[in-house]
Amino acid sequence: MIIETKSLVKRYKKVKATKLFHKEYRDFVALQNINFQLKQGEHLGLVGLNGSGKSTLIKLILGILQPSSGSVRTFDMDPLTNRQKNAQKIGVVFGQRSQLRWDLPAMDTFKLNREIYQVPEEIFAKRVKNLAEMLDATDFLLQPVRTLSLGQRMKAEFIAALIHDPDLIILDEPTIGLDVLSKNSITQFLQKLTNKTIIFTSHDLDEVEKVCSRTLILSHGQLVLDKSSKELAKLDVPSTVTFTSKNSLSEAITAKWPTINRLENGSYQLTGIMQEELKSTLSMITASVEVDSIEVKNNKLEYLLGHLTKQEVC
Amino acid sequence: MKYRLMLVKIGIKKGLASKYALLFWLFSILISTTVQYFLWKAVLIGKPNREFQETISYLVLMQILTVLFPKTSYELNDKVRSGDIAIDLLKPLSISTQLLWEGIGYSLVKFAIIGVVDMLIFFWFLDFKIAFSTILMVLVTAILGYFLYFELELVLGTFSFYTYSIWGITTFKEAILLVLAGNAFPANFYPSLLKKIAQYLPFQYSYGAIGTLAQHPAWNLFIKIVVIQLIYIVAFNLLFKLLFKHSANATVIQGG
Ligand SMILES: Nc1ncnc2c1ncn2[C@@H]1O[C@H](COP(=O)(O)OP(=O)(O)OP(=O)(O)O)[C@@H](O)[C@H]1O
Ligand SMILES: [Mg+2]
Repeated sequence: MIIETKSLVKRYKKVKATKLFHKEYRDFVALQNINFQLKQGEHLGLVGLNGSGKSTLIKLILGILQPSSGSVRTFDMDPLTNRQKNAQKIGVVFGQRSQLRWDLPAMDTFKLNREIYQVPEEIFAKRVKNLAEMLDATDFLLQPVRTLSLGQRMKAEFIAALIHDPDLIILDEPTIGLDVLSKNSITQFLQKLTNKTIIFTSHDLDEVEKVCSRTLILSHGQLVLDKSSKELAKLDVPSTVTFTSKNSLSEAITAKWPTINRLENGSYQLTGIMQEELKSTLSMITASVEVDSIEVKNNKLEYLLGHLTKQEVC
Repeated sequence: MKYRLMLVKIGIKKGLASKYALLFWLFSILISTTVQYFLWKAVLIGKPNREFQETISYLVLMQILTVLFPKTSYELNDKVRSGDIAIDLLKPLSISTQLLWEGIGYSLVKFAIIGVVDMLIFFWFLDFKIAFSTILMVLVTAILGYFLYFELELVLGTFSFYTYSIWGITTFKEAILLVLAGNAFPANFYPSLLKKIAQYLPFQYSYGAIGTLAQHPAWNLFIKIVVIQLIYIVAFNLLFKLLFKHSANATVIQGG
């Protein structure tokens, strides 16, 4: 077992009120009774809204935060007391932090990591070359980090975190602020790392489904879902169909769906279409109006969060 | 091992990246040295020239040390406040090791840009009359003083975990340095009580004691200073480890 938590709880002290000379605090439960296990080779997606406790869970796993109660074990050890030992086997990318030295080329940080993690010279050269090719990052590793774009910096950040070939890769919102192309090249890259154990946090369930074999959803510090991505993909979540048309809607359509919505920008929207009706719905629309464009979307995370917290599924 | 060398290199590169800032620092030091020169010339009027020479060279030496010693407490404070300390904590290397060797690299650049000029001034004020043994003694105690100062800065920086801003604490430190470390003027100008107190303060062994040794070199004084420096280094190193262990576990890494 790479990671195992048992009834893990983390409480923070939160400021309730600020008086002139002292502050009043209240206990805030950031993580409540978290139980899960992570096996070698799993790609785990950790999803939740802002403030749901994702980063807190990651800090506990990494041993840079102490649990309030319950236990967490990383590589079968207490992460807090074995932090430096475990570090040899873990690679971390925090989307909002940087380990690269601002004034120096990314390559200098790679070289520093080579020495810190004691990677032999030839292996190092090979790995940098490989990683840089996979991430399409060959042409900016020698320029000072402060001159890099956000996406370029994130790619360099990935290389720095993976130079010692860690078994466990922890990524806390690594795609924050990246454009679609960069996001895709990073998700494709992560998909290739099948022999590594990965924890990937994001607000974006679609992205997580691409990278991960299993997904956890956190909501207000509680684990509300723990499913494989296959099961998750099968989950029937109602979709939203949006289409535009120059013509006005035929009666057949408005009769069938009285709830059809006209949006501000002139397009039409149908919500709450379940999987099995989707096909017939689409053919019905395309048959009865002249459609300029049509789009099907489902916001799984929103839906799941709304339903899971009510039902307390897991 | 080799990672230390790499950290030193990174420190050097970082220093070189801010070489213009260091040049400006050099100019401001030259100006303040000139002011001090005339100030002490006036203060010590009617005294033998030897005393003036000793005093002014002492002050220049203190200035060299001030420039070269690391500002680790601020670095640690920044890291704690921003939460970037998480990154350093997740390396298989202690944070003090990272800060020490990178700081040495940076200090080497400061030495090359500011220290060399300052040192020429120092020798010049002494008419280039200084025994080789004295240079050796000062060099050894200055290096130990560096380590001692580094440990003190680490301990101060650790308070960031509790207060998040160590501005108050470092201001207090600056005041102690100014008055009791022999940083601003030599200890023999102190009232005797203050002199007694100063003698036992750890900062004294990063500054004043080294200056005194340069003024009145003697092997037995040298050995006494080195022994006290070593004791303090070990003591503060233990104190830092204790404090840091407690604070990094009991407190919270910010941000995320
Ligand atoms: N140092 C702290 N002191 C008090 N409360 C904290 C502290 N750190 C986090 N919290 C609170 O704990 C909760 C969980 O925070 P956490 O950073 O784990 O969220 P997150 O899921 O990573 O959110 P995001 O997606 O925005 O990064 C939040 O409500 C936050 O306000
Ligand atoms: Mg977060």
